Amino acid sequence: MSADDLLDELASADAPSGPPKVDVRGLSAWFGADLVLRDVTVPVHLHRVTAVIGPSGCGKSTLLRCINRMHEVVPGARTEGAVLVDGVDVYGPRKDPAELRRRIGIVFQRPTTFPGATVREDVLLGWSLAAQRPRRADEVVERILRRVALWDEVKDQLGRPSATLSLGQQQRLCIGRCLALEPEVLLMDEPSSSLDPIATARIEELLNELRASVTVVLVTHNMQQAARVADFVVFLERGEVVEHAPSRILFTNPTSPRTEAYITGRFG
Amino acid sequence: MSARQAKEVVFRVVCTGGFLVAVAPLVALVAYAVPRAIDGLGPALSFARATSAPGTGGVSHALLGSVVVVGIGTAIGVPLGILAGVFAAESRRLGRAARLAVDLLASLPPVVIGLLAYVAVVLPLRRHSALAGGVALALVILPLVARGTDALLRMVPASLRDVAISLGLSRWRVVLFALLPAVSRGVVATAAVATSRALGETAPLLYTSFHAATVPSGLLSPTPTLPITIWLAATSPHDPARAMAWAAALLLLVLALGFHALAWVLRGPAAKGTR
Repeated sequence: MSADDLLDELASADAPSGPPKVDVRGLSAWFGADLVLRDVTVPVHLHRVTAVIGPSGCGKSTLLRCINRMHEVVPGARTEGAVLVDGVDVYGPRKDPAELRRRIGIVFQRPTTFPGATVREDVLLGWSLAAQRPRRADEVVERILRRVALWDEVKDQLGRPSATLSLGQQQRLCIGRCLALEPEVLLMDEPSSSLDPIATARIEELLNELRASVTVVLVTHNMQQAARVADFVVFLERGEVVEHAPSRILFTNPTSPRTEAYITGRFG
Repeated sequence: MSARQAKEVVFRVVCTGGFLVAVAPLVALVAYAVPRAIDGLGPALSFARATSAPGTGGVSHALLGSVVVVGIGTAIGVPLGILAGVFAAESRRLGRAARLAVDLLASLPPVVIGLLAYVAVVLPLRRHSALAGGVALALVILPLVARGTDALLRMVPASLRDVAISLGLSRWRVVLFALLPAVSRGVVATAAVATSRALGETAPLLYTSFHAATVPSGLLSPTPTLPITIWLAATSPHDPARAMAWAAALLLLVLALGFHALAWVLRGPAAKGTR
């Protein structure tokens, strides 16, 4: 068996069956007159972790924010092209972005706890702000906090202000806050960039568990992290997709010389 | 002494001088007014009906009248001001226009605001009233609260707004349940300062609530207020009336300071919008 055959076999082992959960097609995005994403096409497979890597300012976060229509929240921002979720364009007519955002959660770079909220309130924030209450709220809080591996640390302090947790705990709480809405897709924008290595490791463990039930798109500037947790990797440069491949292939045998230059640290 | 040190000393002396000039009126007010005011406080706080003798009758009706007129002004001006501020901060297309309109309203001289209320309320009802005074003061309060709310909302970190939006909230829910609660203490502080300012306004009340010597019989009758009572009593040639004016001035001062103190407490280190 030749090396190429082996790679093909590896690739097919990674490729999931069925249509992609999220299908970004020909997506361009602008901030005012600045084109930040240029005709991006990326399929995101169901129950896989897809990492988006690339140098600063290449449009990674913008791509993420286009998927759940957070991009358009910024004044002057606009998009063209399509983002299909389960085959339906989220930018289609009469699509409610608020409803979409409950299906596609996002975790931001810096953990943001809600001012004045307790740990419990912060977990249920997506519900309470919508003037709703999940059934068996206490069970939801416990299940979510267990899921983000925070339960043992805070179970006796659910009434404690969430802002007093450590940054790593806050970030896991923010992930939990998204999971409480039972999203189908979780977008993570450099979720561990403001955390120490131990807190980062916990987030990565969490990612590995999440993929069983949630489709994850992870933006990271940390290539080791992408290699550790991602099934697929998208390399983005100046708003364009340079390469999209299973992570084992992209990191060991990239097709594009630009990808190779980036992952071997020659720029970025 | 080097030239640089000399400049330093001159700068310090000039700044200290400026500070002393600024606090001098305050010191003078306390030293001169407070003893006189305290003398007049007892008679001033009586609810007796004013007679033809100047300085009788006290200022209690005026205190009550001020509370009523300012209360109406606050009840109208604060909610409308918050709404206008939210609109200015959140409307992409008309936000700037709204901000300009609010600034124009804030820059109207109080006399002109009084005139507006006179035309809008006094003329149609054919009488001076607490309601008219309240409407005039609402126009004083509204732009202050709107400006404050607008500025506070725009200071909310984008991350908090992003979180609220990302949890799938509609726009108005984001503002109402995520952003406004985050700045609520600041908004209340702004409302307190605006109320304190309205409390001392005299010009808009001259031709709206006007004046009366007794407790007003309702919201639609002429109503005495502290500022106008002070003006009338202080310009009187009779000593008892002037003593009463000092007492009323002290009352007004204490009330205004009370609202400012509330604002200070709310804006304290623990109240910087978000933690």
